Amino acid sequence: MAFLAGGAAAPARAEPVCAAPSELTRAGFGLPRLAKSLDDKTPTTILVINSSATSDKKPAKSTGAAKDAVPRRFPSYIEEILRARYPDGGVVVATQNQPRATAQAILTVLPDLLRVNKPALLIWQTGTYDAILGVDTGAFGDAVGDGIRLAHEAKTDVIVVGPQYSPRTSFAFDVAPYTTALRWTARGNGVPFFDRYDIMLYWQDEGIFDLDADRPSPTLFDEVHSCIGRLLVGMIADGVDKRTLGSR
Amino acid sequence: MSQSATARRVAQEQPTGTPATSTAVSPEPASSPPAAGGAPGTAPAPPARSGRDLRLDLFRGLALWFIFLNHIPNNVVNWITNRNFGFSDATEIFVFISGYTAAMVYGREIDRSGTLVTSARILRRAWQLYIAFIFLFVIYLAEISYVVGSFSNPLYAEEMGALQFLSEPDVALVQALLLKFRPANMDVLPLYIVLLAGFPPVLWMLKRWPDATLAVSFAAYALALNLGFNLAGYPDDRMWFFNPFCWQFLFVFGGWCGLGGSDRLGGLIQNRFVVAAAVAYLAVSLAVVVSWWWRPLEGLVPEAIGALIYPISKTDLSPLRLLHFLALAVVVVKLVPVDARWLRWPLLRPMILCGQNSLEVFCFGVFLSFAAHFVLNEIDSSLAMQFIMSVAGISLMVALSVLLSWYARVEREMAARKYG
Repeated sequence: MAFLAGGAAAPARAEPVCAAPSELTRAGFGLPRLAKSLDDKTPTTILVINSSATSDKKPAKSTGAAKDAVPRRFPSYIEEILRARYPDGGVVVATQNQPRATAQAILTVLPDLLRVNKPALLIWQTGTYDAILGVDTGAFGDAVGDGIRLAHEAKTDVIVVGPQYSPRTSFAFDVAPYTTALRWTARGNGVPFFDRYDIMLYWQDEGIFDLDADRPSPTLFDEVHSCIGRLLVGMIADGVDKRTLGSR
Repeated sequence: MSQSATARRVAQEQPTGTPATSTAVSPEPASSPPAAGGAPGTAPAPPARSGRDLRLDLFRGLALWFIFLNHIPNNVVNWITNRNFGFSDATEIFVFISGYTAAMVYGREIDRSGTLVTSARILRRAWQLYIAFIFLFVIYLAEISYVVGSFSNPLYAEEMGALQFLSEPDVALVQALLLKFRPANMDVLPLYIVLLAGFPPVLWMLKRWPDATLAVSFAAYALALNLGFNLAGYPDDRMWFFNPFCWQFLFVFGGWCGLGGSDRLGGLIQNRFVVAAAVAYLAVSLAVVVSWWWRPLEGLVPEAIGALIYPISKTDLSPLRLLHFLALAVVVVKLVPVDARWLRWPLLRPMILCGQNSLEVFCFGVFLSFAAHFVLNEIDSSLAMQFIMSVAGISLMVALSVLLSWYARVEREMAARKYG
C-alpha cells in the first residue's frame, strides 16, 4: 500500500475538500473507446457497477443509519460533471447496483449488462464483499481480470474502483489485500485503477473528512460521494486525453 | 533450522539470569515434573535448561511481536515487519517453529511416557487453545457490538451490514464454537488448534518414518494447492483464511526438522550454491514486494512475470511464500549459528521469553491488538499514539512472559522440593 506523506502534491486548490495526491488520481492508461465515443458525439453510456448495500431507491434498513433522505451517490455526480465537461458527448450514466455480490458473481451477469447497455466505459466498483467473505485474493484478482477482458471484448473501457477505507470495520475484515490485488490486476490488464481506499485514507489523515466520527456530519455522505465523483471524472478525463497512448 | 538440534546445545546453554538452584534441580526437561509450566507443549515453559536452541525462541518471539503489530490496522509501526520486505510473513515463522518445538518436546515425551499419554497431553494443549479462542471471541464480539451500537454512518452501510451476523447470535455463536466463524486477526488460532489436534498420529508417524511422513504431508499440500479444497467457514461460503491442508506442510516440516531432520539438512546450509540461491531469491522477493507499496518502484515487475506469479496466496501458502520462508531460514541459520554469543545478549532476552511462552503471549497479543485498535479508533489515532500502543503492547507481552517464566520456575522448584 502506498503510504501518503503530507508532502504529496495536492492539486485542485479551488476545491480543497476534494484534494488528493495526483499519483492516486492519474489514469495511467488510456480510455480510447470512451474517447472515440465522446468524439463521435453519439450517446455515450457509462455503466457503473456498484456493490453498495443500499440501492439508490430505498435506504437500507439494516444499520438504522440510512433513515434520512436518499443520498446521492458518486455515479450521479459523475453524470452531472461529465455532461458539463463534454456537453456534446451525450453522456448517460447507467448504474447497476449489485449488493452483496462478489467479483465472481458479477461475472455471471456482466455479459448481459454489457450487451444491454453497450457502454463505452465500465466503472466497476468491487472488492468490499469479497473482503467480507474472505474470498481468496487470487481468485478475486482472476475474476476481476476476466471481467475486464469481457468488457474489452465488448468494446468497453474499464476503470476499476476499489473498496473504501472504513476505519471502524477494519478490525473485522481487512480490505487492503483486495486493494493490492485490484491494483495489480488493473495494471496487468492496462486499465486505470481508482484507489478509493488510499484516497479516503489520505482524507482521514489530512483531516479533510472525519470518517470515523460517532456522529458524522449530515453532509458527509454527499461530500464524500461528490468528491469521489469529481476525482473519478478527473481520472476519466486523464484517460480520455491519453487515448493515443492506449494500445487497446 | 538448527544444524545441531540435539547434541551440541546441551553443553553451551546456560542462560543468563537463571538461578543456579533451578539449574541444579532439573538438568534436563525429561526430569521436570508435569507441573512444570502448567502447560507444556509447543512452548514448554521451563526455558532453556535443556540447552534449547535459543534461535527458536528468539525468532518465535519476534514473529509474535510482528503478528501483534500487523494485527493493528492503520498502525505505522507495522511497516517494520517482514511482510513488507518479502513474500512470506511472521505466520510462516510461527507455524514452522511451533511444529519444530512441538515435535521436539512431545517427541522426547513419547520416549519417556509412551504414545498414549503424550497424545493425551497434545490434545489437552489443543483444548487449552480452543478455550483461549472462545475467550478472545467473546472480547471480539464485545467490540463488534460496541461498534454496531455506537457508530452509524450511511457511508459505511455495506461494511456495517457485514457485522449484522449479531442479529442471529444463535447461529453466529455455534459457528464460532465450530471454529467456522473466525474473525480477522484470530485466524492463526483455529489453524493452530487444528494442526495440534491432528498432531498425535502425525508425531507417531514422524518418529517412525520421518521421510515418508514428510512426503505424505507434501503430497497433501500439493493436492490441496492444486484442487483447492479447504475447510468451510461462516458466514456464507467463506473459507478458512489459512487453509489447514496447505499450512500443515510447514508444521510437519518443522516437526521433521525438530526430530533431527535439520541435522541432515546441515550440508545444505554449508553449500555455497544453496546459500547464494537463497540470498538471490530473498533479494528478488524484496524488490517485488517493495514495488507494491513504494511508488517509485512501481512497474518494476514485468507484467508477464507479474501475471505468472501473482497473486501470491496466503490462504493456500503459495509456493512462492514457502520458498521465501525456506530461503529466509537458510540465510538466518547461516548467519546465526546456534552458539552465537549475541543470542544471550540481555537486550534479546525479552524476545526470547516471549517465544518461550508462545501460546499465552500469542493470545494476549490478539487481545492487545483489539485493545490498541479500539484506542486508536475511539480516542486518538495520531502517529504518537500508534507508537505508544505498539510499544505498550510489546511491553505487556514481555511482562506476561516474564511472569509466566517466573511462575513456571517457582512451580518447578516446589515440585522438586516435594519429589526430590
